[in-house]
This record gives sequence, C-alpha cells and structure tokens, in this order.
Amino acid sequence: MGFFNFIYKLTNILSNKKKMRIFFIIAIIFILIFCWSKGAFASTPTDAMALTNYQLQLQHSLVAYLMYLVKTNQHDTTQMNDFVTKLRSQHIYVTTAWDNGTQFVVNIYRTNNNNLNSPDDFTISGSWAVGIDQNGNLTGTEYPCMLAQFTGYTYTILQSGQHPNPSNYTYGQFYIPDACFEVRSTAIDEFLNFMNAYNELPTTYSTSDAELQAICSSGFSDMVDATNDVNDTLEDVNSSVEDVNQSVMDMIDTITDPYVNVSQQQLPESPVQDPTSDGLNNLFILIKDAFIGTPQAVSFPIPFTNQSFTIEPGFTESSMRKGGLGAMVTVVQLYWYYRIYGFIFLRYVDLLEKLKEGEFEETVGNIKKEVL
Amino acid sequence: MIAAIVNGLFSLIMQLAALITTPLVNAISALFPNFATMLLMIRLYFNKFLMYIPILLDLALIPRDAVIALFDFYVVLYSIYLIQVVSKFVIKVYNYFKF
Repeated sequence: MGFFNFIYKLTNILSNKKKMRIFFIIAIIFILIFCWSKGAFASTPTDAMALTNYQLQLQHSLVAYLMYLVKTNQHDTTQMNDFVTKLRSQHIYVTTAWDNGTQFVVNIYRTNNNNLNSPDDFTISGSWAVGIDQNGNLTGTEYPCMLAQFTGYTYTILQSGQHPNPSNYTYGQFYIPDACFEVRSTAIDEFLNFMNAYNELPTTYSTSDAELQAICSSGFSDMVDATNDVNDTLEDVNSSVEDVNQSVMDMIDTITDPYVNVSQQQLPESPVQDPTSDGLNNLFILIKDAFIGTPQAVSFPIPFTNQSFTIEPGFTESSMRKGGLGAMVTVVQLYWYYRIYGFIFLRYVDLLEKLKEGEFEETVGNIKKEVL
Repeated sequence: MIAAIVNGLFSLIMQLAALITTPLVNAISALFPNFATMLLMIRLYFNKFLMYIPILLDLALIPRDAVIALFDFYVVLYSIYLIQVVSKFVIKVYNYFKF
C-alpha cells in the first residue's frame, strides 16, 4: 500500500502543470548532462560506426602485415601484390618503401578510372606510428621520435633510424601494377570508412603485447581468413535463398496435390454479396500505418518533364547528423518526447484521479467523447 | 467451457445481425451498385494524402517511438471504454437468462 500511495502522491504533485514543467526541465538538463558525459555531442566520425567486422579484420591485417614486413625485412613484391589483390574489394592499394634509406614510406591510394586521385578527394587526420629501432626491428618500448604525416596521397611514416642496407631498397620498388586496380563509384566512401577505422588504432605498439605478437605471427593469414569468412557468408545467404525458393515450390505442389481435400474445412459463404463488407474498416489501419508503420520513399514528379525526385525516409535526420548537427537533432527529439509523453502522462494522471474518486461512469463517458 | 458458451453466444448474435441486415444490403446493392467503388475511392483518397505523413514527421524530427506511444495511449483509452460496454452487455444478458 505504501508504494501505491507514494505513486499516487507523486502523480498528484506532478499534476500541477507548473511543477510538471519544472520537473521535466530538470529531467532534460540531467539527460543532456548524461548524454554529454557519454560523448553523445562529440564530433565523432559517423562513417566509422558503419564499419564491418570484415573491414576491422582487414585493417588489423594491414597493420600486422606492414609491421611483419618491417620486422623481418621481407619486402617481397609477389607477396605484396597478393596482399593488394586481397585489398581490391576495398579499392585501396598500398606501397611501401624505404625512402633514401632514411624513412619508411607507406603510400595509400584509392583508385578511380585507373588514375590516382587528387589529394582534395579525401583528408586524413590523426596519426599512427610504429616503434622501430635503427636496425629496422620492432622495439619493446615506444619510440618517441616517430611521426606520421600525410602529404598529398602519400602517407609517410618518418623515423629517425637508418635502414641497415639502403642500397638494396629503392623508392618505388614495391609499386603495384595498374592491373590490380578496379573502378567503382563508391570507392571514396569505402576509403573514408577504412581510414576512419585506421585512425582508431592505438598510436603505438609494443612487441611485448601478446595480441600484437599473435597478429604478427599470423601475418598474412588474417587477411585470407577474413576474405574466406565473407565468401562463406555469401554462400550461406545464397543457399538460404535457394531453400526458401524450394519451400515455395513445395508449398505450390502441396496445394495442387489431389489428395488434399480442403473443401471439407471451408465454411459455407454467405450467398449475399455485400458491397459494404469492406466499408471503411481499413481507414484506421491506413492512418496507423501512415504514422507508425514502415515509412516508404515518396517520389515527386516534376511537371512537364519525365523526371522526378525521391525523398527517402529519415533523410532529414541522417543528413543533419552527417552535417555535424547531431546535437541539434537530439535536442529537437527531446522536445518532442517532452511534449508527447507529457501529454500522455497528464492524461493518465487525470484518469487515475477520477478513478480514485469513484467517478468511473463519468470518466468512461469523457473517454468516449474524447476518442469519438 | 464458459468461453465456448460466450463465443457461441456472440456468434449467434452476429449471425442474427447479418440476417437482419440482409434486406438492407440487398437494397443498397440494387439501388447503389457502385457503392463499393465509392468506399474504395474514399480509401484511396486517404491513402493518397496519408503517404506524405512520414515525410512531415521526418521534417519535424518527431521521433517514431513517441508517435507509437501516443497511439498506444489512445488504444488503452478506447479499450477501457470497450471493456465497460462489453461488461455491461454481458451482465445484461446474464440477467436476462437468469431463472
């Protein structure tokens, strides 16, 4: 009884509109502070959220493989070509070289019409570094002199050490032939996704890290496993579709089976053809689906032309969030939540009060008037 | 068993109502043969302008969950009214058949 009494008193207090507003304003402030503390208003890259596990494994393998090459000095052109062939689905290719024997250069490109893009097509922020000593081996400690910088379409990792045999390695030795490149219009989005995920990696690595050792030891196999996983998933999807098709065909065969007598289970129909049978029964369903059903894209034809433009569902929110106005979207949605849930809450409070006072008939009558 | 009796009772009432309205339906069919088409056009008209509702909701950034809650609220209100009417009807039928 104490609990319900407390709830009733609370609803009595909140039924006062002035107190109700103050309560909701304080609640919204607390919610905003909570969201802010959780980083909801931080300008995080939204493209990174769409990162798939496949891409994550891909970029882990990329780092592992690059570090593996640095660690073991196995700059094998054939192996690198195989690696880039696996990366073709991401439309990115990578070249590595010791530049004049003083710095380790990683060139990351994306492809478009078999030509290199201008640097304006994408931007890269953040940095990552690999701890390498003067002999080109990974060190167990962080290397403070490492610096990563992006110039044009080249991502260069500077290091203060010297390559042990600079005469054996020249710039451009591991250039990937154009035959490895593929063209796709969405390549830039995938590249941005890829690089956003890339920047989320830790800035430094240590060879004492067990996870890093595992990645380095697996080396190139991670990439192959990731590709095989994707292929297996696609095959599973294909087999599922085939199973569904087979089920439909089986069902059709069952329906046409002469041994199935469905007439015994059919109820006799009314002989009167009622033109009002459907009536306006579907109107409520139409209205309900319009408000809370799955939204559909709407096309607006342009007069005197054969063209039209289509508005996809949720375009306002997604475009505002992509434009960096996610906080504003959240505030507006909080306002709507406040208005609608406040309306519902106040109505429930009134209803409970009247029911508690024993005015059931009058309350139900009021509901009837309100609904109808 | 009680549920079966109540269901049978309601089925009987619905059959009787259909029997009573049969002459009216026949009259509508004879006098207004395109009555069903008119009802269909009304539904199509509603369908035509209701398809812009999701876009308006998107433009106003009204969250779908809040709209669903509003619908649920009215469904609950209407259910209360319906429960009251049905309970009154059942009590009335019970009193009528009581010996």
